[in-house]
Amino acid sequence: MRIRAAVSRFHLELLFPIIVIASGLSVASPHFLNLQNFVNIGNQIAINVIIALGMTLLITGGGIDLSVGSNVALTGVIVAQFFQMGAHGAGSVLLAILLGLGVGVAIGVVNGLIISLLEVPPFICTLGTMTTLRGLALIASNGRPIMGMPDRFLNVFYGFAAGIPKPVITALLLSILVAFILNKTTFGRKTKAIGGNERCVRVCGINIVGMKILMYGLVGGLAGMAGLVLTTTMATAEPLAGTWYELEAIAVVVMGGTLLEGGKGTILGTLFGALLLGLVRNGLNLLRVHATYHTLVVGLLILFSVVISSDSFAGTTRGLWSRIGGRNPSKK
Amino acid sequence: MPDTLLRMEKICKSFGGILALKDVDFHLRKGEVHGLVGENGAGKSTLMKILCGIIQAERGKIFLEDREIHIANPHAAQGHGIAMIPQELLLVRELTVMQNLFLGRELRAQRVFLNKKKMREMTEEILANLDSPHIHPNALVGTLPKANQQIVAIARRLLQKGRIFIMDEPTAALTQKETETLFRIIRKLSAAGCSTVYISHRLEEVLEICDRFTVLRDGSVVKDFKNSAEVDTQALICLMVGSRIEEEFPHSTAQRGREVLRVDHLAFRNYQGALVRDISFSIHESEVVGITGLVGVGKSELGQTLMGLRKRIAGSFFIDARPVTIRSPMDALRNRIGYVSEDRREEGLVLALESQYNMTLSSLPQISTASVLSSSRERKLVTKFMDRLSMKEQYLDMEAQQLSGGNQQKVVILRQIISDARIILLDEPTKGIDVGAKSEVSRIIGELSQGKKAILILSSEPREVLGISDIIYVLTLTGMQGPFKRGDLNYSQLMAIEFGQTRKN
Repeated sequence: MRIRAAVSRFHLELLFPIIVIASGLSVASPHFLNLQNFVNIGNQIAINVIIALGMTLLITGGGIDLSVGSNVALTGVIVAQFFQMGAHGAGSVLLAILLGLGVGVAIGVVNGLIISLLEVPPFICTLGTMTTLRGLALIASNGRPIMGMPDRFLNVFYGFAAGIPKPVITALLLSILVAFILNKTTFGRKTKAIGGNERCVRVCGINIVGMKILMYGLVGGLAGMAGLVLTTTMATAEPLAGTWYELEAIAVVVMGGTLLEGGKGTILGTLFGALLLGLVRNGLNLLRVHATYHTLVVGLLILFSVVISSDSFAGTTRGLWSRIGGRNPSKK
Repeated sequence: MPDTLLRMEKICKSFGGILALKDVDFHLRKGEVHGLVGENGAGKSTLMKILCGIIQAERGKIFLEDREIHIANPHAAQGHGIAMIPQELLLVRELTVMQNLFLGRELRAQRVFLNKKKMREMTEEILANLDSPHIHPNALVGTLPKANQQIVAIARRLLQKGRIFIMDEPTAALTQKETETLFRIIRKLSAAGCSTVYISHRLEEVLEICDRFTVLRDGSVVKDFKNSAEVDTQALICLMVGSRIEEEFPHSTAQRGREVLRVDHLAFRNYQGALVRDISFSIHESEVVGITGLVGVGKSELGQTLMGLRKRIAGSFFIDARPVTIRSPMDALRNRIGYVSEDRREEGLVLALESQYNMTLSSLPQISTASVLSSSRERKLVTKFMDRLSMKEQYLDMEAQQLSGGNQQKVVILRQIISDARIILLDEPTKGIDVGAKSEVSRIIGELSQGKKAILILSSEPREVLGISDIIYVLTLTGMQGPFKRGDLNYSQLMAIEFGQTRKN
């Protein structure tokens, strides 16, 4: 019973399938339990994680952002063009990073302003910005990938530090930061409250408009960071990068246990969700499953996780998750 | 009785152990206009909801033309010709008059196509019968003035072969002239053999249009009698109010301090869009001011305007004699005004959040350093005030939705105390709370005022207001009466003012 309570409290439900799949893969493929393989997995999920961190916070606060994928692309393109315009030298790297983050945050703030001041539903607004930003990325890059960025810059997020891939370190550090923000700061508290009942929080005298701008700004900033990591690891800025990233981020967040309607969120759950998705993808590769089936499998995984963690499932059929994790169905 | 159309006999209904209707008999004759009169909570809506099939009686029978019937749902009620016209009218604003009249029962030509010509003819005929040929069948209902919308609602029911019309506060949004038109239509309905149940707090109107009355009090029928020259509003009020034992409400005996809040000639719009104006009152330290009035008169809206949740159309606020602008709840919080909303679940609490966190929502700066929360400071702050409200510690870590209504209300009140509000507004503070918790909340309110706080209560429960307040104002349709000192006003006098009988200065 205590294990159940602990599992529920710390959102460890996904550990079970993760262990099962990892064990299965170690047996099924000789290439799984391999340092290089783990490095690959880490690098692949790092970018998803960075975006999903912001998405976790945003969804907990009752919002959603479909424009993060385009954000990633536009950030990369702008930073690449910055170097194309002839920037060089030690200072340029710092400037480039600030530029990238700045673009990301700016996009987020614009989303936040439209959503809070013009009262446009988040889904619709970010759907619009998603397409707009993609268009801007295509224009700014003339529709072609941009290369030729100095190594000094690329090495910021590419390679290893103390034996661990830099993207993974970045993702882990940001995870700790965002988890801290969500659980230990007034901003995080307000976010949870707004996601739970925005009207009440407004009546309590809290600045809802300000909060929303900050929330979306943070998501945008993290997407910008993801754009920087992607661009440096690929050494290329692609205008079409980041496609589907927003949906993967949302999937991973929901799989991890954060409720889509807001009010409750878990960073650890999101990390597990990303890990599970990464393992499944890795497994499909190692087992030489034909590429055309990958999308199907990933889709089924997401559907499966979401159904299992849904209230109706846990309520009517004492679902697998309830048995393992003792997750509480929400009260009426 | 030969001409009795409807008989409801010995109707009983309770909600969660509280008896709402006790052996109620209701007789409706053919072609009569029957006034159903009583205070808030007397049972009028419950009785009518049973008649309309919205809820079921626990005991009792209903006879239509001497045949017993069972009204299982609104559809069945409609089948018997029982037509409810609620205050919201239930029309689709985006559709035309004709479309509304025939909604769900459109006339067809050859099965598939609409027979617009026939529908239009019938629409015009019915409207003419109701003395309203000026209402155009193709007009969008949403564009019509309220009075005409009401006529359309009546017409729709007529078309549904309605024989018994139940009208709930029909004149609430009508001018004098429109009311006269409505009365003409009601008389026409009577002449055609339809009966009308007229529910209203406007006693002068009730006396004018009704042939008979049934007065309800606390779920029972007090009297059922014919209208005549001897019956006047005083008589009705006496019957509605009766002689009752004044309930003992605990209240503070602290001396009131200096003026904290003054409201001057405030004007705002109520839910129906009508302008409420010339609201002036003041609240002092250690004082409980109660504003009461009938439901719908604008009390909640007054509270909302004070909190910046509703647009202030005119008037000004003064706190400590300094003018202040309150345009949003943020301004209100800054001025240390706390608010306990009428709707706990929608506005008062974040249900999925733990009670403790609900309590500290307005006080985040006090429990954090540089935005980082301190759980020890938070716990200390909360437990400091918990005992005064006898809130148990184990509730703190429970989600707000798991608490009872009374405890939920305590959480909201605690939030105001913890944020050190000087002025606390409570809108219907004991609504939806069981009797035991009610008196506890009342006691808490009394105690709050002893702590130098200025309390404003907005309540439709006159006994509550009389019991707790030091100063009472009465909000009526004609304006605000008061201030009355506690003890200067008794229950009957209060009722008389609320129902617009006398002006007390």
